[in-house]
Amino acid sequence: MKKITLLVAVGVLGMLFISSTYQKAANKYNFSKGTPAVKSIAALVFGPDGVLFIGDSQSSTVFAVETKDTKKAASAQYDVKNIDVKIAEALGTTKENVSIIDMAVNPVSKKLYIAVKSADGTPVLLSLGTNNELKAVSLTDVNFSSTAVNNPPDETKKDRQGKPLSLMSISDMGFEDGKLLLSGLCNKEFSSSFRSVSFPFTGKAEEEATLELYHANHGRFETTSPVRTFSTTTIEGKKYVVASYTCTPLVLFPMDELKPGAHVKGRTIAEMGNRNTPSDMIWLKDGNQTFLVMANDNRPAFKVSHEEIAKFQGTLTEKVEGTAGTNFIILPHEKVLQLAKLDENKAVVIQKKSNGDIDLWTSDGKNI
Amino acid sequence: MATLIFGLPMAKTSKRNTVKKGGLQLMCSLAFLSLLALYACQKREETIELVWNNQRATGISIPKHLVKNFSSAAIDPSIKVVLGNNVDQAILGNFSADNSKLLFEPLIPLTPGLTYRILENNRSIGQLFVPFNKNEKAPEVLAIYPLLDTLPENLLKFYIQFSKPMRTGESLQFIHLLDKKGDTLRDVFLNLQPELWDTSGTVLTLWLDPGRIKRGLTLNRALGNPLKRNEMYQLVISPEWKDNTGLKLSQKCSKTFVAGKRDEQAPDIKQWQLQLPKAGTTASLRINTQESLDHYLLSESIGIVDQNNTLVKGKIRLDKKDQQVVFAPAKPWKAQRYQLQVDARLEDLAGNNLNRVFDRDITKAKSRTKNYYELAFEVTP
Repeated sequence: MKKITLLVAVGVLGMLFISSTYQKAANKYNFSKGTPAVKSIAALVFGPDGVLFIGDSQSSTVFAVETKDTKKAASAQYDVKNIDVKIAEALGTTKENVSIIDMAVNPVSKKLYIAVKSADGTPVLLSLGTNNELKAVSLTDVNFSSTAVNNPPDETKKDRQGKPLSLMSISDMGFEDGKLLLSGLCNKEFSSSFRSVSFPFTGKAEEEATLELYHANHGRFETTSPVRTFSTTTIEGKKYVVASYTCTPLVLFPMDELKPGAHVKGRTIAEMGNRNTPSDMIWLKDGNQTFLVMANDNRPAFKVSHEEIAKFQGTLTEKVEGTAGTNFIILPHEKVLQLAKLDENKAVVIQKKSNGDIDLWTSDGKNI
Repeated sequence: MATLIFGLPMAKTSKRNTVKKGGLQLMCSLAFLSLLALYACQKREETIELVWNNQRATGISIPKHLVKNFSSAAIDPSIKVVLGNNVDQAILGNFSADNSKLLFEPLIPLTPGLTYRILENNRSIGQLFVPFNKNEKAPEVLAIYPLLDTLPENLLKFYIQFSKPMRTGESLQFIHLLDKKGDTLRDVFLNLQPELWDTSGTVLTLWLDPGRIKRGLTLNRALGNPLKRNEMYQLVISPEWKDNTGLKLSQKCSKTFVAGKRDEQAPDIKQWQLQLPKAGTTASLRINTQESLDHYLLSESIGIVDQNNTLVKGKIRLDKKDQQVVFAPAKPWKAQRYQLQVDARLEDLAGNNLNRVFDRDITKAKSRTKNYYELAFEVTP
């Protein structure tokens, strides 16, 4: 009898232990179950444990969603010709009615997630498996949390009628050291908004930093300008944000200066040619070297070695003809629309070919 | 009614049996009619139909009797919806079932002008065409800001306000800036993806390429300012641009303007002139800003507080082509001192805000970091 009681007690304790650890896992990121009200998808980036951050410009919110896509894979190979046509067919329409907005590879499973927008503005999240098959990613009844990025949690930033000021459109997101980093473009004032938010989201002001990034043009004119795309790097033990702008390509900002309300001055390390907007940047290894690879809308993709970036100590102060600053390598790929890191050496690329076709392919680790 | 439908007018007669016969005929006709109506109703329920939500075809309703394996249809991959003859690609979406029908909801609304087919084990069980909504009104351009006819040569942005949400991501295919000869100027606007739309999807912010406006940048030196002083320009919006339901703009829209001198001054609220109301009235306070300011920021960034620092409730509207703010208080003014508070983020047409000019010459100008600026005024009886 005593034995049975003991067994039951052990069993109950065991059950309690299992349920509490399960509870802990589910609530590690302060998630709650439900259906996030995603109105648009402007940017995607993966955080830890298959958590996908969805940047929603229309509601100025970032959603952190548990994908449960946590089965490890070493790498993957994607190859879909006319990806825009394939996506349109899967959605029951024609290619002119869909736009590919962003993509991200889950670093754990290597599964590719693609954000698409239909002509009427409906956002769609799709995944591409290793069999190159498109599937819908359901956001119904998922574990998620969210954080508003429209205004700092400071009431003075509301207008006098109590309406939030300008809408911030999310241009890029990154995840580094437990922090979600995001750059935004405002639909009203021309400002550089860069934000870092601790994850799990707490909603506390001190966990967030909003700052203005400035850069000097040739030592004379100082301006603020919205960051289009960015990444992070370490130079001599110090962490930096590498940002590319709507008008000046490459600027370095020390990360330890990213504090709430800070006015951070960046160092312009390269001007890589005009009439161009960079769309994505990622770090890839080639042999012993690490390169920053950048996709551009109006120029070929190019790469800059980490060594070159670290070596360039100056800031562009002299008159520049064409390109200047850090040496970079022009890659043989024009009109790279999307770029996502697949593993240490390879990337998934969406490119518009000269015949107008839009293809998705996996790089060989050499040219991209 | 029966006569109308069957086209058999009933002859009037004085004989009883004829009347009886007539009554029987009428009853039979009514019974037949009822059956026909019932049949028609059933028939209506039994067809494959589109489900509409906010004038978008968001689903397909498939009646039970058309589906062989109805009990497991919602989870059975043997049922699929395809586009036209593309039988291999099942459209992504969700199936759900109730007692009488199966509902398919695709991830995006079905596209007007296209035909969809429903297949069960690759056998077609029906098809439907998605029509364009004939009652839907064509979208219009309501306004192009700035409203002035002379704009600074370092103008930073236009706002275009539409009557309905437009298709996004393709604005630069339909918006062009022409010079006085009517030639399209290239690389004038900043190509942004995602584009900058307000929450309603009806106001587009269109930036002239800041790289060309900012002094000292490669692009500015290579191509110069997008606008040249004293030149005439026309901003044209093509009627080919569709709204988010697929309807084209009702007509071409354009704004003609001249580029004036460069604006290198931060707006200074000390220069603003106030037309003061009298105490005890609800007359409007008129604020003349001496220059045209950013249309949307102007109406959002102005507030008035009383001597207790309490916000004065009221309504703001803009006048004189965004050079005048009109504040109508909800309650009568009191005889006291008020403060006009202006958010430092308010910009003029060249992107200069209250704290700094757009591209600050660090050898000369200093920038400020205030959140808002104040201007006191006294309301008297």
